[in-house]
Amino acid sequence: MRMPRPEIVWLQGITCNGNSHSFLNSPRFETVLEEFRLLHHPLLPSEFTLEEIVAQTRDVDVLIVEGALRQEGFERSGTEIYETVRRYAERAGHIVAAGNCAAFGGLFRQSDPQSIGGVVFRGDEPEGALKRFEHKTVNLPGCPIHPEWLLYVLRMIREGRPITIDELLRPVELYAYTVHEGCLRNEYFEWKVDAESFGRKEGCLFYGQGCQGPYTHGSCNRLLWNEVSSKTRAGMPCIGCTEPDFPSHGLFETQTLMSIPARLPLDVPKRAYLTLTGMAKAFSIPRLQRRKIDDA
Amino acid sequence: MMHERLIERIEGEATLLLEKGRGGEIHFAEIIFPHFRGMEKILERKPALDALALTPRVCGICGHAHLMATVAALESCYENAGIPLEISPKARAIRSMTLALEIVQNHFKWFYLTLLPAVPGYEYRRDSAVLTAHRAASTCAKAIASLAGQWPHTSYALPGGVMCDPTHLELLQVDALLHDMEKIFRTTLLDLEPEEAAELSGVGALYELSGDLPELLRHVRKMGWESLGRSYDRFIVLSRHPLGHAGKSVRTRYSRIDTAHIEEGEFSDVGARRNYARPVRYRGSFFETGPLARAMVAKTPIVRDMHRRYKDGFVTRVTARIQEVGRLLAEIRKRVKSIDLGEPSWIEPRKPLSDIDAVYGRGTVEAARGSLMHTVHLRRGKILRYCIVTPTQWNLANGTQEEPGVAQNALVGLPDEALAEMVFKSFDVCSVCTTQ
Repeated sequence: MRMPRPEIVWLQGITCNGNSHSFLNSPRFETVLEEFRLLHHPLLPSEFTLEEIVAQTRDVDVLIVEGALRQEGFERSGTEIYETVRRYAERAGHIVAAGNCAAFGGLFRQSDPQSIGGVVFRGDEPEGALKRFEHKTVNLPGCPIHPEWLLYVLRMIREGRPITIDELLRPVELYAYTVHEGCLRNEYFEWKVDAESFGRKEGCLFYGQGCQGPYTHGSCNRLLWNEVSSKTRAGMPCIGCTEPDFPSHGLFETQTLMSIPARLPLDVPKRAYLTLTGMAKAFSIPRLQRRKIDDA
Repeated sequence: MMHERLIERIEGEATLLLEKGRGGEIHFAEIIFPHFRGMEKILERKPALDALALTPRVCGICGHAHLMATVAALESCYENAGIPLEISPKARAIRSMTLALEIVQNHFKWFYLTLLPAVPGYEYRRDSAVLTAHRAASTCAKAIASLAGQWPHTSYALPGGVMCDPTHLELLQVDALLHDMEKIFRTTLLDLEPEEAAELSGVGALYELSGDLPELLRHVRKMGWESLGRSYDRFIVLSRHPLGHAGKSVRTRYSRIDTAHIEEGEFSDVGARRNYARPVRYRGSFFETGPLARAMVAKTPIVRDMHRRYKDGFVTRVTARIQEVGRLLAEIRKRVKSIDLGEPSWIEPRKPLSDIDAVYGRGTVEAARGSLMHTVHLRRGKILRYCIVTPTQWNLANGTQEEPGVAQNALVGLPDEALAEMVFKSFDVCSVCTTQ
């Protein structure tokens, strides 16, 4: 059953605000403001200031949490943000952990891995400070979130449709894909043609430049960023920003073991990978060895 | 009489501790930035290039500037190690374009989401302000993404150039979006063609124009608030940028700078509370950084004229920021038209950073709010130490009773708290940057 105008409170833990700014780019932004009642947002003028939100207690339809949490040592408006988030989490109909930090702890967890985590998870373990709210939490990892991911969740909630989630609480309709799916360089991946260099549209970035697309859950090359592009389409390797271990170590080079990438495409057995690679490397496809557009 | 005021919507928050006189006027202010995330420590022991991905995450609105500062710092390492890098004009142009676009979207958001709501009693249409900020931000972000893949948070630039390899398709897309941005600028902030904006020199003429900026200025004039928020009238610009050069200006007197004279202080305690904004001084003194500083150093005519009347007061600071928008759009457009796609995007450095034993590098860029400086110490390609100094530190950190910080100084003598918040926000504060 459709909700008339769900009420949203958006709270921030330890964050850079990137998810808020990403959300502001959504082409459906105007519709969101019409379809939802924004009780509080940290950047947008809203019905209540943070001071007022902290001072009151109320039910909300959707609590959006951006940023990582720690039980003490990070206050907003004079109160531990953990306390404010907890109070609203108790009374919220739904909780959305927007961004990698809220989902898993993210980058800022590296400052104090024992104390800092996401809403439900710390890394990939369900040991977050508010894990008891797992039953009503949806994780939208990403650094930052793609605004359409958040819109998807909000509108599914509004329509009263259940959101199918995986074991990390990620909506499968968004995260069942890999970033690899839809990348413009797929053909170079298929025929094992290395990029060998940054700054060129030819070649696959998986073999040397550290691209994590083939084993990163996300729909970046399906939905496209800012409606036009994606990191890999622009020649930048995927850095795995939706995964619990983001950011990993050594993002712009591929770790190899005996010349084989240490991390293989998602769920592809090593033997299958080696067999296919061996066969592909036995051939040299002239078109794929050339530049797409010859310099005049 | 001490009073506390929480300031929100400044990419985080800050608390003003105001010492007020009997009539409510501000005698002194302490500014507390309460958050610390430890980015500099997180960066230690990481491979140098990881900083390209991590430093943008200091800030969601100006992360692109951090990327460029990291690139500049790493390129400085190569230079200091005696390994000259070659960066094509094409790569430099693309970098400066995406950086300028981030500045443009920032200024729109600041004006419509942060400043207007803070002007006491000012009537404006809130819904259309929010939508203007959204339209400008998403259009700029789309233009950045056409070259850099996405916005926020891309790391498409690296020592030696950029990772993208655009065709005319991307350039035409960017040009079309710039055309949209110029229309948005003219129909919202200031009804002036970008070329005319560059030639605007008279305050009188500015006040007669239509647009949300002149309308605000007329209101401020009516209220008699034009000169509020004056501070030291001392400005610093650490890096060259599309609209001018580096240097400092004491009132209107220009001189060169050397970053070796910059000193960053420590966290301070205000009573029982820790303030995480570390003060920054040049040769022992506080300097203002940001669009006003850039315009004073470049001697931009409209800002000079405003400065003649109102010194470094509220209207000068606000005007300086908005006039950058039109002119930056024109500059970006020029660059789009002059890029030679035949040039290489990236020229690989002769050696990887891991081949260099121990080296130090410093990079400066002009970000939306002012000068950003990254300093890095590397050993064999791993980060030993990383130091980030942000524009908000320059402007908003506390000094002492004898020598207050730039914004602290600007708050002294203001008639009430509401005007204090307005003047505070005229500095365009970024709480997350300040407290990395």
